[in-house]
Amino acid sequence: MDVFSDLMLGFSSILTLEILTYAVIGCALGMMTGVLPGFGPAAATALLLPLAFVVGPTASIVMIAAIYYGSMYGGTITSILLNVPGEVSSVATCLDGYAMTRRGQAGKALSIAAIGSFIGGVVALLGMLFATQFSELALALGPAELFALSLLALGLVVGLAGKSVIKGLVSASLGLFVGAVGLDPVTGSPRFTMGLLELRDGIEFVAVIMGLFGLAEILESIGRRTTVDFSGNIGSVRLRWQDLRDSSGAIARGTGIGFFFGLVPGSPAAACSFASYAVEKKLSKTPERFGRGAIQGVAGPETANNALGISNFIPLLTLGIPSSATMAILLGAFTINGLQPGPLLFAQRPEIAWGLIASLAVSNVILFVMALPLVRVWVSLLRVPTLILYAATLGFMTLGAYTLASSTFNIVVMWLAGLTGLAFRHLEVPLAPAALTLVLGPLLEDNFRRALSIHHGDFSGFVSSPITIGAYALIALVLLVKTGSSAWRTSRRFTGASEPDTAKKADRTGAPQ
Amino acid sequence: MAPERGGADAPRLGSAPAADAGSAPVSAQCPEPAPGTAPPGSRTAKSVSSRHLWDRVAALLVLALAVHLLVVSARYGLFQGDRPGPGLFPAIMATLLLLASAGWLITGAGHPAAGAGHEAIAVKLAEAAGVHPGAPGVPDVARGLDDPYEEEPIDRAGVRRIAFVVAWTVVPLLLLEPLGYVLTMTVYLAGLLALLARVRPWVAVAGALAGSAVTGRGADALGIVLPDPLGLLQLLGA
Repeated sequence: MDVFSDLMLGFSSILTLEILTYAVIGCALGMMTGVLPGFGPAAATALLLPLAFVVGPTASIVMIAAIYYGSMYGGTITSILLNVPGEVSSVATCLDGYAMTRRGQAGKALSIAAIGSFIGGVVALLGMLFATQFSELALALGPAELFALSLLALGLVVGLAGKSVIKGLVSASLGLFVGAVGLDPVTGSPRFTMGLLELRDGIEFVAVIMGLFGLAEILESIGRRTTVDFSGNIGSVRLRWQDLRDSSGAIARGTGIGFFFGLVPGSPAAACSFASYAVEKKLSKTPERFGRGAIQGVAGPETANNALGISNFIPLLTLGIPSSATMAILLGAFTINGLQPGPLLFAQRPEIAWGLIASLAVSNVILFVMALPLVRVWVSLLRVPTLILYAATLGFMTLGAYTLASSTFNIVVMWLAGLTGLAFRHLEVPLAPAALTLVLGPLLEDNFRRALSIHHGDFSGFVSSPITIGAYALIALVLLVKTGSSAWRTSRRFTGASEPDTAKKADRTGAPQ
Repeated sequence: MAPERGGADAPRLGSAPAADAGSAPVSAQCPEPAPGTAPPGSRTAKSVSSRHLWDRVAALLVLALAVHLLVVSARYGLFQGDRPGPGLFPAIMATLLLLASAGWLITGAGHPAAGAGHEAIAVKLAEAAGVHPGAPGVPDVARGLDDPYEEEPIDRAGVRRIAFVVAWTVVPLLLLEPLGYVLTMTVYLAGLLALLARVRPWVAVAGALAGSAVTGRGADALGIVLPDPLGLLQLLGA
């Protein structure tokens, strides 16, 4: 089949009233959760995961994709209206988005963010259609290559996502152990179950993810008593023709930047949005307007963020490798539904694989249609005291954790993961490697054991092809560069700041230059 | 930050006084950072020292866990003939964890040399655009990009609020199966609303009861079976 007929198959499997209703509900819930102060897509998606399991596999995939989309735009709303980004990648949006809000142009900022996100999403989806044609190549890979590529994704996340390689490795190793709890997939003997019957089927992934990302965020916010209030005026959401002309270049460049950043495992989302912001400021004829409400300063980073959010799916769909914590959460959600994203999914369940791509397109449209008319609804949510919102969310999460297996055991698991997540945040141990290994762990071990069995216990089988050698070399390079960079910064801090640094500190005004 | 609303003036559970700054930018209320140059005895210096201690404690705990996991993994069997046994992969992971935690214990895991990786790239790009994390107008979250010590630790009142929320989880754990969903969730939510969010008790109970009933009905409509030994969900028509 060609791409067009494949895509039509995907659309035909999701374009029913029931599934579209789930998509609308998913978008709305995602936006509602994304609006919660501090909640990025990972936390918002984690929090709503149990909802996606009470519906069938196709509806579940559509709903998860819609939740993901909705939560991304929810973060945009708080970034623009409150200067409170859900995650670091939204900081660039705050700079001019919040400046526009202070000038009474919040509506315009939200509009251009929605339009940019829509265009970035559509173009990235077209790129994804092209990339999926390479998924068949991945079918030729053996277990040693798949092991090396999974390890490469993990190595890039450890090397790029956190501030310390050592802490990234600790996080990744602990995630692997949590994923290893339960019956051994080959021999059937129990591992790390501590004699508990509840652990024989393994630790519930969703409960752990809800705790690590959602609950830890809520506990942090309760501890800090994060409060927000928006009492300003949104203003008109209508854009003038001139606004669109001013933003068109930023949207086009943001799409390209976001798409290519999204292909790199490790998801450098913050770097992506700032790259777009820096490019726009550099190319602008009026760079002095940046930081004071330049519409390109919102259009570029927002478009880049959304394009990145879509192109992040490409490594997942072509190789089955998640490139960020959010993608790992989505991958986990699919595997619980009995689906394994990756090249095999296109061959074995084309209606699901193409249904996922179609659902991303549908969610993009639904979000575009829903975003602006409902902005005032989400803003009204911000007028509810945050502790009431968090109390309600805790109740919802308790219900969600219980329903995973009709057992209070998963409530305990969620809370243990939540407290661990809170401790990790304070110790600056990155959570993304743990999320990845929680999902990739079984796959890594399976490929590791298969490769070793094929080579009769000979470890040299792991470096027998150019792909594996290249992957291991790249991992070593990333980790060495990261460690070297840390060591250099340490020595620089101990020996005192250099002259240019002092100049930089003196210039930390944040004022546009 | 804006003050909390919807309750009595006197904070419960040791809530911290919230600064009334209207809709001023959150970041603008933060002091200018001085990365890596905290004077001895200052709040930041104490925070740095305290974080080093906690880093070491955590590293030691993880190290002990790694040793335990290595021993347990080895017991599962590393090889079965020329095939890998159930313990081989976990043993390799435990060794990795052991080395990483030992590195964490010895070096403090990069403190104070944080800021590498994509966050450093983001800082460089942001600075190229004339934006400096920590400057007025730049959101708080950006401060963590280049200075790991900038964020203030949670105060005692915050720790008490977290401790309460954690302790209150005992309600669903103990009551959910014997009392059923509606009663348990009503007690759980009412407690959180009244004691944490400072909502008036009768409003908290009424809100919690309504929330529990609605979610109970909703769960039933989705085919989710919730514990209902007293038949309350049936009474509600579920």
